[in-house]
Amino acid sequence: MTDLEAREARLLAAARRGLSSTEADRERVRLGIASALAKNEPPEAKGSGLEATGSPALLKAVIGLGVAGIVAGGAYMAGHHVGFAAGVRAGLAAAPQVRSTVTLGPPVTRREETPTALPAASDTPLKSVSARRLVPSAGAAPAVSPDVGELELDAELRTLRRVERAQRAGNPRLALALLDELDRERPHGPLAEERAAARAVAECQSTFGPARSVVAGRFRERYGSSVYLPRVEAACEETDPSRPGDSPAERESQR
Amino acid sequence: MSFVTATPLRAPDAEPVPVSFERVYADEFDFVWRCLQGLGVPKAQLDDAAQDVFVIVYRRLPSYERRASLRTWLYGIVRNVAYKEWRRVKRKPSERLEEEPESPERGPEELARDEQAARFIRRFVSSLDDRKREVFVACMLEQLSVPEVAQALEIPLNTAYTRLRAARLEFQRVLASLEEKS
Repeated sequence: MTDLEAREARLLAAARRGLSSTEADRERVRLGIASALAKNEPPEAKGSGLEATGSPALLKAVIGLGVAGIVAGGAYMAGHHVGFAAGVRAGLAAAPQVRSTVTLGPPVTRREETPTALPAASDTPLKSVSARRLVPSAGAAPAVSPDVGELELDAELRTLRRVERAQRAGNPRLALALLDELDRERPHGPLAEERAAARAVAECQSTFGPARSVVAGRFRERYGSSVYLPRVEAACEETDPSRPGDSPAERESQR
Repeated sequence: MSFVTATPLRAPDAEPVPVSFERVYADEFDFVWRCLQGLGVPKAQLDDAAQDVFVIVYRRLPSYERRASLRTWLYGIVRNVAYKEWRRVKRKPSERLEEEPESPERGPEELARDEQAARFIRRFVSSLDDRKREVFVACMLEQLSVPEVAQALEIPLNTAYTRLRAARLEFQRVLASLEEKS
């Protein structure tokens, strides 16, 4: 191997690492897939040969996963420092899975297992208000109604995903504008705690000095046991503006 | 639009192997994520493009036959989704807002940092034409074999080698030029 080839190999290896996904990326996309399958919306235009093959039972199960994901999402957040929407979505990994086990070559079969039950409350180290609100009773199966409630939730998640992107891009004004719009359009959405946390982070990204501790204090007062509190506090802690890369927006965009 | 599974030819003695979507997702998400970026999908569209890929995978997995390796099969899907995304973004230039700003050229040592290397590769592959780019990303970045890439792209093996050689020469030229500057 020549020197040039060695440098080429090193550079490509570094690029592979740099282009790799994070756990938050995986979970964000995972929920998007569940949502797309639930809504039976093929990603390609008609005529591409991609027809929906999911049965109604499967689609209901996928929607159920979305709801179950909310429950476990908080637990995931407690252990991993990921975005709000991603944290909500992360629960999909811990939730009962829809298995699409197939056999390569004929006969082709697909087994579908409908989620049976959510984890019992004692198994879920979660104090998320929104999670409890979404699940009527511990151990009960998720209320699967693929209509208004789920579509509302989906829309709210989509907006939170955009908020998260804006924060990562260091654009708290856009994040706040999106949250304002969400509050106007869906004032009683089920993810109030996630919204409040996202708002607090965005406000701290866009302000300096003592105002940030006021924002953090307000969130702490309202959601003292929130799994998002550490992230809010981290975003709102005092920084040294003279240090490059130490502004709240920059730190948030590095997450 | 054609996928690599257009004319499946399964060896008669091939053993059926169960593959679950969850397994494919867990094992291959990174591969898909990197390929999409290598093929020029802007960061702002990455989530949507990855989602599209895996929805297609979910629906097509039952008909996937081991005519090609899983990654070869996946790469065909990723490439189609990436081009669909490109066409959509070209129609709506305003959606390019979240593209990364250009950064000044740097020397190879600094490029060793992963992020910087990733940015450099993204810029380099965007300078290639489509045909060279898809071969370069699959062979050099993802280290698929040239026969696998030829199969995924449905091109003759010699064509794949020719494109790879041309892309690689270009890559080494850029790398050497950077080194001279530094």
